[in-house]
Amino acid sequence: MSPYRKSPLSAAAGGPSPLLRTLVQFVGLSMLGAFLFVFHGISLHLTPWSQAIVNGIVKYAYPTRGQDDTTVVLFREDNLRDLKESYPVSYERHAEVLEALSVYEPAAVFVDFAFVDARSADEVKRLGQALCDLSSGGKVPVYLAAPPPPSTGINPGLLACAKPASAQMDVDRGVSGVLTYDRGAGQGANFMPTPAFALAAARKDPPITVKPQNAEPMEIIWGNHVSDLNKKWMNCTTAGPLLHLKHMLRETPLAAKRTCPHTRTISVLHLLGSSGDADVQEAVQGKAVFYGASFNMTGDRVNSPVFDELPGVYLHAMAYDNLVTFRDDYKRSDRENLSLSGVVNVLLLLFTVVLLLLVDRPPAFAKRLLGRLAQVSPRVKWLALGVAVLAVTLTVAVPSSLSAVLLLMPLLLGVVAVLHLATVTPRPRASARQFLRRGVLGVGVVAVVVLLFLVVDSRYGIEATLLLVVLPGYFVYKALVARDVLFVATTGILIGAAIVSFLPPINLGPRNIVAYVAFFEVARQLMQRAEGAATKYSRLRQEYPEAKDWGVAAWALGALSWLFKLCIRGDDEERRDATRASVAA
Amino acid sequence: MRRGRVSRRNLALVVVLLATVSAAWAAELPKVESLKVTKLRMEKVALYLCDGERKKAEREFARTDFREPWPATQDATSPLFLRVTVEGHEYCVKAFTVDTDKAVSASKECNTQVASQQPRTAATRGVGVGCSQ
Repeated sequence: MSPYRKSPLSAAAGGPSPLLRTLVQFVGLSMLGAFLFVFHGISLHLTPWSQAIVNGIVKYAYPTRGQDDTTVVLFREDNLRDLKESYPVSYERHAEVLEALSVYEPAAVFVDFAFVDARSADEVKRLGQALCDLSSGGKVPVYLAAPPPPSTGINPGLLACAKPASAQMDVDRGVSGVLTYDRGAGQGANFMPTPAFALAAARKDPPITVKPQNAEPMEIIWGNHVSDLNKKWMNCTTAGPLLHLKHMLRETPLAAKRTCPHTRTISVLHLLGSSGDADVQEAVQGKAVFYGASFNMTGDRVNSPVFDELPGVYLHAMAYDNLVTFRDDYKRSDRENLSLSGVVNVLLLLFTVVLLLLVDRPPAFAKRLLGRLAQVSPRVKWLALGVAVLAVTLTVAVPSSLSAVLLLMPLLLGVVAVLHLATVTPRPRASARQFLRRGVLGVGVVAVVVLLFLVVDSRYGIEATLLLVVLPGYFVYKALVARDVLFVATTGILIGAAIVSFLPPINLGPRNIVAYVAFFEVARQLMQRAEGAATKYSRLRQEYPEAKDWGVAAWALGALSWLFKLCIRGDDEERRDATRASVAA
Repeated sequence: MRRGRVSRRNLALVVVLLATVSAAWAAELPKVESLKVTKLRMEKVALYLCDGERKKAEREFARTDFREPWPATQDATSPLFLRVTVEGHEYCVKAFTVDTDKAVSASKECNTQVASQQPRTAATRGVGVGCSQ
């Protein structure tokens, strides 16, 4: 007996063939997906969830190479009072800060203050001299924040030993804040690199071969491993687990963000008022220093997916951190119209659509085609599995610029396996006992997840909780309670594809996998609804076969029947008819 | 006799009380830790008169002339300076320009919140240059 429901319409004579139905459904679902993704219907709403999961992964997987090499020297609002200084900070005070920096011999310095206003010749001379002393004949590259070209606007007296860098910031992306970072502004001779790209290009030990003029825009990975130095003097406590749970249920998991930055930070007071302090020495000596400010009512704040609003200088520091960490394999943003990122998005969407067509009620031709995989020799299967395991092991053990290429083989095998699973695995109907058992199991899974949420969150934070409790809990629910193994497998493949696109040489930023999974679920429900409507129409049609009963012309009723038949999935009826015909013959 | 005994007891109590108060008062006082400047971190270090505005250096001391450690203490009036004794004279010197035998940190910044949601304001900060002067 077929495990699938019998559809009266599919047995009716005439109408679109199974192949045509599948094609139309494919086009329809693709258009629906494109509509949802292009117009940000689904991805924008689910970005916080996707971003929160990415934050959790980044917390444990993002190396500290860049963090070890980067320091922010922050002129805080309180420092103005401590130093008896006013806003804007005098050139004399800036000169003193640069003097103090030069004492500790940094590798490179970016000054995130725009010296665009007129000042007395003495002040300019004093600051210019401090810049030259810091630069020490070009040994230490020094960059000053500048408005975009053509006019740098910086006082020429300050550019003798320093170069301008474009401090332009990209726009926010919803709750994720700023996720992209440009290589620079202007063209040709007027090109001015952004601070992170400028400092990376000037880095000598070890050098980074990124050339700002030819570089692609960056998708910033916001590290969230709080520096140990920051913990010494900042308030790094987070809201408790109950508050996190409340935020997650009422708003988004990004509603409560971190308050301590990832980048190692010292204040101007630390720098100027310390002597023989190993922390200050370690923070500045041989490091790329980003000197910026955190003053009230001056703008210059940046939103990020991980932290509460940060002073703008942290954006440049984080972008530089990314360049040091990933080097040439920094993550590319998808701002170009026809980009690799767009291609990957389309591929992920098409894979989801194909799965939607195969899941629940696969067409007979797909069953025949993918069912043949079961006939492949076990030796070939074991060989393929061995190669896949080897490729994954190699990628983990020896990270290289070909990691994504190596992982393509296991990914494709996974895709084939999931397609095969989708076509040959019938969805069993639960008995009354099983129904009850699953209900109890479902309640148990939810209770355990809530309990673990509170425990893990209080000890390891919200990122770890989402990654280690919420996500696995959802998968366990889908696999054991909903018995939707195919959903779990599909999600696994989508995550695999996201990892492959993240690795070199593709080097794309994290994909919004949650949006694809949500699209899968929503479209699946829509298809079931459409098929239900078609079945209802078929039943009514049998009860009221005449066009006059429907109040329309005969041709219109025919067209309506044809359209409703498009919503029918699978073709078991046709297959059964064909079998009957062959037996009769 | 009895009167004298009571008086001695009272005296003892007063002494204990005074000792306790003095100890507490001493603990409240900022500790003036004696330091030694062991190295000059700049080619020429500016020495300022501690009583002045400390805008213009009284004299400069070359690193090559530095022979023996300078006795020093933290300056109570400014977190950025150390009081040093050079050739019998007291000067103030910027902390970052010298190395000391013990770590000196002027900053008492604790529990600071760097990332935070600042209240939105529809105004621009508009203080001119040199307002503090």
